[in-house]
Amino acid sequence: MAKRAPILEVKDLVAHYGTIKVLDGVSFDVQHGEILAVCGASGCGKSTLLKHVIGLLKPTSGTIHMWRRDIASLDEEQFNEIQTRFGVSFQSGGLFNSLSLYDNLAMVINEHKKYEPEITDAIIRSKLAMVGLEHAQHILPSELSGGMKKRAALARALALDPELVFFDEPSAGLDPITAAGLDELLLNLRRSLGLTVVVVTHELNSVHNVADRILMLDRGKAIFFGLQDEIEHSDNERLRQFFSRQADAAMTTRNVDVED
Amino acid sequence: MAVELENRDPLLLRVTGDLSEDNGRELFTAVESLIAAKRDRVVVELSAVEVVDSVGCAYLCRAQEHARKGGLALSVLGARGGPAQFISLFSSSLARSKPLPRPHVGFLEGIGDKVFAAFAEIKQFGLLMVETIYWSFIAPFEKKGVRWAGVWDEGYEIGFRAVGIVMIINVLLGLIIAMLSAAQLKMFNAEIYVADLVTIAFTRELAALMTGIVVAARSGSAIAAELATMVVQEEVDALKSMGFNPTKYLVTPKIFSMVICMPALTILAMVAGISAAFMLGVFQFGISAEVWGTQTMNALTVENITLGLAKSLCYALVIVIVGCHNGLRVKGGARGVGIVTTRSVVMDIFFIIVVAALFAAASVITT
Repeated sequence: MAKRAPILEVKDLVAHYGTIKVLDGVSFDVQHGEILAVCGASGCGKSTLLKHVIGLLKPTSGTIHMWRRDIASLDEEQFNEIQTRFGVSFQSGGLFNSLSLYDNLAMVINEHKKYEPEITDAIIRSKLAMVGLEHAQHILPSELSGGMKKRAALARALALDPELVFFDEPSAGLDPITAAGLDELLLNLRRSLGLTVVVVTHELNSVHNVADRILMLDRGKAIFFGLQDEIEHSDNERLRQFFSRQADAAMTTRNVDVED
Repeated sequence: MAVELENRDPLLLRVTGDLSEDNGRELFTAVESLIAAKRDRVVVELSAVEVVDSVGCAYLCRAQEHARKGGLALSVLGARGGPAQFISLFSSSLARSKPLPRPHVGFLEGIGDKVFAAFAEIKQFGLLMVETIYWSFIAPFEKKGVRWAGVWDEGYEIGFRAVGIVMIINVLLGLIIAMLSAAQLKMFNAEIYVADLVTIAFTRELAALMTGIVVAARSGSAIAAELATMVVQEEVDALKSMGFNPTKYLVTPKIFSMVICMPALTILAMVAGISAAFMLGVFQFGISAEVWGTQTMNALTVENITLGLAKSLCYALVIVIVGCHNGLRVKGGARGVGIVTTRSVVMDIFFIIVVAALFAAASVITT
C-alpha cells in the first residue's frame, strides 16, 4: 500500500491554544484506501489535530500536505478545490439546524456541482439511505437524536463522493447495532470506492473492526503510529493501559479535565 | 471513455472507462432514445468500467427507472469488483429511499396553528410572569434566597456599562427638543419656557422612555440570546435536572439588577437631558444661568419625577420578562436564537410604548 504517495502527510505538527501546547511534534501519514484510527484519552488533542489537518486552525509549526500539496501555501480558491475532495463529519454533527436533512445535503451538492435536479435528488436519497435515514428526509436536525445527527453528518460528508473522509467520534452516542452498521458502511465504501478514512475515536471495538493503522496520542504527543498488530508487542505503558482499558491512577487522586 | 451502442441481438450499450457525470448522461440519453424508438430490450455492459461515482450511479438508476416506465427491458451486466459493489450499494439504498412529500401546511390549518400558538404563548407568558413575581418579590421574604452574586454581575453589564450611551442619547435628545421648541416659542418671545418644557418632558416621559429603548436594545437582546443559547445547549435542562428552578436561578437576578439599574439610569438620563437644554439656553439663547435655573427648578416636581421612575420600573420588568420569555421558547438552533433575539427587542419596544400610552391615558382620566 505504501507504493503511492500518501494522501495526507503531517510532519512535526505543533499547536498551541494560547500558551498551552496542545500538539507537540505529531507526525503521521495516510495512504490511499487506508483507514486510520486516531486514538487517545479525552483531552489528548485528537479533535485539535483534526481541526488543524482540515485547515480550520493554523499550526504553530510543522507542515500538512494533502495530495502532496502543502495546505498552508494554498490560497483560498485552491484550498476550496481541495476541500471538495475531502468530507468532514464533526463531533456534534455540524448540521445546519434551520435546514432539513435533505436540504443540508442539497446545499452542499448544489454549492459545488451543477447536476440535473433529478440526479441531485437521487444522490441525496441514496446517501441518506446508506446511513439508514431514508425516512427522515424532511426532518430538521434539532428534531433528531444524537445518533441520527451523527449519521446525517456522515451522509453530508459523503455527499460529494470525497476521496478522504474525516470522522470525529463516529460511534460516541450510538447504539452498538448502528455503530457496527456505520463501521460496515465505511468498509464497504473503502472496498467499492477506495475511500480513505481518518477516524477519531476511542471506541476500541470500532478500532479493531475498521482500522488498518492506529495513531495514538497522549498529552499532545504521538506515542504510537503503526499497524494494529504491533500494539500487542509494544512496551509503552500508556498504550497498553488504553487498549486494556485500565483506569488511570491520576483519575482517583486529582481532578481530570473532561474534554469536549 | 465512452458509451457505445452495439447493434446486435439484444442491443448492447457498452460503457468504457468511468461511469461518472459525462458517461452517465450519455448512457441516460442513449436509453431515452431507445425508449423513444420503441425498442424492447437492451443490455448495459459495464465490464470495461473501472471507476464509478454517485453521479454515474444516479444516471444509471434513473435510466433503469425510465426504461421500466417506457416498457424497455434493461439489464445491467458485467460490472466487477469495486464498481459492482458501489452500484449495488447505491441502487439498493436508492430503492429503499422513496421520495417523501415535504411537510405542507394548508392555509386554514396555518391560521389555526397560529391562533393556538398565540394562546399557548399568552399562557406561557402569564406563567412566567407569575413565577417571576413569586421568585423575585415573594420568595425572598420567605427566606428562599436570592443569588446576589448574579445580581451584581448582571448589574454591571446592564447598568454600569450602559451609562455612557444613555447619557449621550439623552443629551442629544435634550438638545433636539430644546431647539425644536425654541424655534416655535421664539415667535412669542417665550424661549424661557423651553426650560419648563424640556424639564417636564424628560422627568415625566422621555428619560424613562429613551433609557428603556436603549436598555431593551442592549440588554433585552442579550438576555434573550443568552437564555436561548442555554436552552439550545441543554443547559436549562441540566439546571432543572439538578434541582435548580430556572426562574429563580436565571430570571430573578436579572429582575433585581434591572429594577435597580433602570431607575438609576433614568435619573442620569433626566439630568443629561435637562442640563443639555440648560447649556443651550445659556450659551445659545443668551438667557442668564440664574433665570434658566430658577425656571427649571420650578418645573421640577416630585410628582413628575416619581411618575418617570415608576415608568422606568415597569419598563425594567417588561424588558426582563419579554427577554426571558422569548429566550426560553427558542426552537431549533442558531437560527432560532437569532429569531427570538430579534423578536424580543421588537416586543420590548412595542410593550414599552404600550405601557407609556397606558400611563398617559391614566393621567388624562385621573385629572
